[in-house]
Amino acid sequence: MIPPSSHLAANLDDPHNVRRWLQTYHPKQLALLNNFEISLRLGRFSTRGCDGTDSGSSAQQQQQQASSSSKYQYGKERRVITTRTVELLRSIIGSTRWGTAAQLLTLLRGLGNELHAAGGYREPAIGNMVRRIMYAVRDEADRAPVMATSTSTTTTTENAHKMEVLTEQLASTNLRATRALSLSSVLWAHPQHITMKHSRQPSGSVDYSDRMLALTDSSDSTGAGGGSGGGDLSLGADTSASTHYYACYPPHYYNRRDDLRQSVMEAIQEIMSELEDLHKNINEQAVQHIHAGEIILTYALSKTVELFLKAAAAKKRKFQVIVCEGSPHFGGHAMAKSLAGAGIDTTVIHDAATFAIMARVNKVLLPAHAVLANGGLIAPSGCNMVALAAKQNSVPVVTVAGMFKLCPMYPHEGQDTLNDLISPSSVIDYSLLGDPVLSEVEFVNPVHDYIPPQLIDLYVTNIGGFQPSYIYRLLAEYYHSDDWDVFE
Amino acid sequence: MGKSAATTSSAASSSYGGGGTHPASSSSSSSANDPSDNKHEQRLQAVLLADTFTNAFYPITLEPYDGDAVNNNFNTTISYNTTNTAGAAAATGVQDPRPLILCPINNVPLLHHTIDFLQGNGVEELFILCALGAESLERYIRCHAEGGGGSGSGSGNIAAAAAGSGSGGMKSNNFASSINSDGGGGSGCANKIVWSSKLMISIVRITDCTNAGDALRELDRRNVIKSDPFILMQGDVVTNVDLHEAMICHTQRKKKDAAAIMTVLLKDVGGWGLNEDDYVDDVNEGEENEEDDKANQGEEKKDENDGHHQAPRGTITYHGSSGNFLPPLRSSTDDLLLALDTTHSNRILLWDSHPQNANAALPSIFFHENSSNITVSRNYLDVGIDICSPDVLARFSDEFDYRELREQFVANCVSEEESGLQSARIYAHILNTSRGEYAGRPLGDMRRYHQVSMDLLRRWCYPLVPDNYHHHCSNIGSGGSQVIQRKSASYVRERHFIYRDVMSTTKVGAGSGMDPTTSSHNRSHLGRSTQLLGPLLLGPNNSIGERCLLQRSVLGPNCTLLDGCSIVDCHLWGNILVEEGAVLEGVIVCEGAIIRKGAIVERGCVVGRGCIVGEGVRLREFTRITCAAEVNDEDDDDYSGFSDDSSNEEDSEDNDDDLEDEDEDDDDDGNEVSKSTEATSSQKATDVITNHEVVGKDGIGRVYVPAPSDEYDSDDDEEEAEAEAMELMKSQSIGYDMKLVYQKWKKLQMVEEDDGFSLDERDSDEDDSMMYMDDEWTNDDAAATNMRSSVSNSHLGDDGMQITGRQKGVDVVKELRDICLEHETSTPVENLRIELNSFKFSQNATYADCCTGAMMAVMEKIFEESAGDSIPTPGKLVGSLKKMLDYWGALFNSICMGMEEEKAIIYALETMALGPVEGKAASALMQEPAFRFVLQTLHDQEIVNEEAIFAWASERRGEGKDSPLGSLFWQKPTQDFLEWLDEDESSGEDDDDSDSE
Repeated sequence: MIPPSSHLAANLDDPHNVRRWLQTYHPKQLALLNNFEISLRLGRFSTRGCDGTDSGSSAQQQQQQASSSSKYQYGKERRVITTRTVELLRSIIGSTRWGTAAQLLTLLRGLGNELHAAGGYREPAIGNMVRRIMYAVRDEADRAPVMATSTSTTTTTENAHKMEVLTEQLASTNLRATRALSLSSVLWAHPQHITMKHSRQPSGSVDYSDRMLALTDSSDSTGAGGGSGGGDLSLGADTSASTHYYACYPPHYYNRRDDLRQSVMEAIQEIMSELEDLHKNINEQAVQHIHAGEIILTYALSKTVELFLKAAAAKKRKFQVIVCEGSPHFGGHAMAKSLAGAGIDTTVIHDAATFAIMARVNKVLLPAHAVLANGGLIAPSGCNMVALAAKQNSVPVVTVAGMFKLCPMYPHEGQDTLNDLISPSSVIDYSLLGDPVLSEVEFVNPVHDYIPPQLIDLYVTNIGGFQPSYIYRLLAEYYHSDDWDVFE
Repeated sequence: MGKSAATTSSAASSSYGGGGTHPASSSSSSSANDPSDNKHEQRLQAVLLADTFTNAFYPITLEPYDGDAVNNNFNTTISYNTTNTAGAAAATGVQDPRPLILCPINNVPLLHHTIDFLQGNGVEELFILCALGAESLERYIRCHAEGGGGSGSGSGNIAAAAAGSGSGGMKSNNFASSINSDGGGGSGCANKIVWSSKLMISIVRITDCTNAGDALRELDRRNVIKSDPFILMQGDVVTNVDLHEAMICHTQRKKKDAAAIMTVLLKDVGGWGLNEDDYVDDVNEGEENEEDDKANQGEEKKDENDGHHQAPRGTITYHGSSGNFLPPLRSSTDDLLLALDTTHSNRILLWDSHPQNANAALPSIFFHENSSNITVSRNYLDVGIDICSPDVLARFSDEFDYRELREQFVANCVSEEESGLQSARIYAHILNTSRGEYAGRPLGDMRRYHQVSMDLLRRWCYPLVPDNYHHHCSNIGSGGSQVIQRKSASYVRERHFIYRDVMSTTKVGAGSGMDPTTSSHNRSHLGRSTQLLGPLLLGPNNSIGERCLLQRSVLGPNCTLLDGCSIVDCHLWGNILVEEGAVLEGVIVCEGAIIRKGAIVERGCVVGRGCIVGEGVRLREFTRITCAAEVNDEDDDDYSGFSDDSSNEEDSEDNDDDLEDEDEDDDDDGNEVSKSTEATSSQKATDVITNHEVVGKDGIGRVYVPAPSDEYDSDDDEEEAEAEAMELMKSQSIGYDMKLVYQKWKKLQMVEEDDGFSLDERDSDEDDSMMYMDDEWTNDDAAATNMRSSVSNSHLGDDGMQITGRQKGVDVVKELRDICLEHETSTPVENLRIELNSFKFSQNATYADCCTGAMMAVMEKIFEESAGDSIPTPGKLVGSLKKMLDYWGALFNSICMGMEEEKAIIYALETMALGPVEGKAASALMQEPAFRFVLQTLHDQEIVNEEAIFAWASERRGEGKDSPLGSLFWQKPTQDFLEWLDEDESSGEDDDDSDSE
């Protein structure tokens, strides 16, 4: 039975319609999305850390796989989730019927919202991947010529023509404007720098509509034409809401482009291969940072750190590693085992001994959950203590992280930033809580720590080493500033 | 173009190989809409037993429930929400009780958690077996399903936003049409509803079923369960378990051994840990060393068996309890004792959940098996999720009298094993609590409801926390890019586990498509001087006044608390008004209820839908008030007057309610007089029977009195039965002290022990039993060994023995007695002997049991025959006994093989005399010379010889004169008799007969 409002679903003009749009036209893709979301919500990715092979994530297939890793480490193998996300996005983008860059961006934004709500806020890398693909889409849309394949209404084209003529000289100064010849593309040339202030305001909608007024002609007509049919916009409320979103994008984004799909898919593939080569690229730098005879301190379990150390060891470097056990999950134990297996001189200490041992340490190597826009770090709970101890003893703190962990957000919530409280079961056994006194005690089990940028000396990423103060610059290279918003 | 793009993408994915599975192919194989898809792999199926078949949540689950009220939890567009929907419900003529699984826990109906859980574990087809409230459930599911009838989640809300206040009407239209459409489909078959693209839901109506066994048989009859394994889940479970591992283990076991048909999930919740003085555990396993050391009691005992030749090659580990507390998640009605074979992937060897059972028996065959490590534990909680093979359903169909899944099916499957008749092995999968796996059964009773709810807020069930809610990823309306109203993740966590709806703080998008009334309602208000403590969940659109105290509570949407309230340990389900200074502690308040000024509601109370607790009233603890009609009149569609109210404005609504309530009260007063004369034929909505003395002059609602359970013996006192039911209800309420339950159990076990002492075959002498076991062991041909290994609980000594190879719950002696009683004395006694003999074999009983039963039957017959209430004098007694023995003597002669049996006869007499029940028999036998006379008669008739009497006497000599066991022995006539017997024996045997004459 078709819901009465289903005719609205035809429009891919509002990120909030995405689910309905998928439901109407692409139920299979929606099934993929649902499946992914459920796994995400129930935390299945962290418990069933597979090697990312079953992107189809059919439950039956999953069951037949032997449970390769039964070790529970919260957030272990974040790269798996990231890869899965990209695969999901690729299969959705690749097989759904969107026409224009604007529609694709709307779709992506909607997917981002969905994933965020389903638990993606716990895995910021998911949002990052969506943003990166959005950036790639914008990049493609800006780069290629609009003219030839435009299928929008004649008025649009005429408008565009007019604007081109008017602004040709102005545009010549701007690299991107020469590619997309229109008044608006001049104004929108480098949105990162020009419109950032506006778009970050909470009342963004008003702002957009203001801007829209300035471009009434083009945006209105393209708005109607760019969608899959003007007749869809029947209800007032929805129309107004959707026009706000039209205004988000430069006009030439509303032009239909046949080659866009191909180039976007290629861009996604680039991201995929970047993820695949991630550790290789990071580990190449290992010998630059780990020197012979050094004592390296690391905290708990991290795949990236583990491989980094092993890479150094493989280059015949002799060094000693001290592993904090990382209570209450004790990932350090598994880490130590793995390192010792690679022939590294390994010592495990309990977390409380960190400060005492810091004086002997040459370098601290920290894992990362997310890298923030100010150069701060979200790391497993307990890392802040390690970083502070290192600061006290002037021991350099090096963080190894893939660039997919780079988040365009600022830690205005302090320690609560991107933090989460998980089940206190690792802190106390539930069966002890029958005690009426004990049951009144609060048991808190935070997952992450926020480490301010001044406590970190270097980020070693797959594209090289950077100081925390440089991180903000990388953001502009990876994400479009309009996509910085937290997915709601 | 779209097509070409699709091929591009799939080519990309397969060629680059990053993702092993082809996205397109996987999506096509998983498309649930296509029934012809079955030729592929069988989709994983699950069965959800939506009813617990208990009345723990009465009267809440009796109250009429209209589907749209459910939207309460999601739609913030609520005024007193029954407005439009009541109309819809009325239009469709549906007045159905609330299904249990639609009860909200932490503001989300449990069903959502369940479905999420199942979906997350890969279930693609779900059968919900529902007896009570199937209509409501179906309506609800249709309404919230993504693909099925009704409005999809997202669209519905957008429509609501766009169409403003008309949303309710639109929805009700959907209801109406969907109901109409499936009305044509026929109600008999399960209608499939596409919940999401991955999950199909069928509702199987089992209205005539009253227990889980019937429900499963019905399911088997329909022959819909194909997948092996399938998941069988109780409707009342909240969990975050990953079944992945358990499923793999189950499948692997099943491959190796076809008898491994079921895997039960268990969670360690800790044992009973009361004072160690009155709680002594000892493992009393036949040849094992007694562990008397109480200090060690809490620890695991690993005793290697000490070299008896019959010693099994294994160990017993007993998980005692430690500390001084009670397991909070446990039900107040069952006490699970488990034995697990830890070497064989936790095979269950014993399942006993009857709290009154003081003893449990473990078949000795389990000790044969190579190096078995047996763990006996009371620490486990039955999670309520099983991984089953379809054989389980077949088994249920075979055993047509199984009613309960656990007490009967599992318990019997487990114990049947050693007899080798039907081999069905049941295994346990224990949740890995250190991995954060949690499970609770909130709808078992209200005490656990509160406990689980608080555990969820304390994040024990981690991904299932309020700040991670995602049921309804729909957005209601949309503002600009920033201010977006989403239902998902609308709760934010604050310090000390306080969760508040984020909408209460978010500004509503200006000029967006929001319904103006909605936006005005979306603001929560919280008084500054109000104190928020502990785990607390505040739903959307609440208004909380000044100087309130809130602690360990859950507030649903649209609750209004006026100044100075105190809400502790409460669950307010939504649309509730609590007036100034009201104090609520440990209360569940259902939708639409009102607590008037200054009222005090004590712990364990339940305020039903639409009830009103009057001004200044003090509602005594454990009172449940409801507006629902008595259970009997089903077609009664009364409901409080809110349904007529269509105002959206909250304040005015309150006023309206007030007015209307008063009207109702007037009506009530009038009706109450007229009702006595009037037949209860047509009841109007205002016709709520109100106990004004309880809820106050201005209150509404009657007191719910639990119906006494059917199982209660009819001859028992009616009042006692009611008191029992009341006690049970109390124990299932918030705030009840579980210590009392424990003490009650202990008492029950005491009774059991006393009963058991004389009824059961008994070897009070440890050496005797050892000998017995030795013999058995040496002659053992593995079929039916009698080595009894009993694990006695708590305070019980070592004398609680139970025979293995016996059907659970069968009191053999009682059965034997009944056989004797039913026997027609006109037929030859030989027939009876054969009958007894066959029963003896079937239950692995002994001749001693037969003797006991027969003796008791004889005595009972005597008392039956002796007319009236008068207690027969000893002389009369003996006279009639002699007469009886003329007939029965032959039987005794044939079944009395030796001393054991003869002793058993004496014990039987003793039991009759001391027995707690048969007042007449007891008093008759306790009369001074009666026992002696009877004994002498038996002796004279050569049924009991001197040796048996002396053996009995020597046992009793140790007893004090005041102890019950000693009392008969120390009676003067008995002593005389014994003395005489003693002399008689020493003087000569010839005179026996002549002396007695």
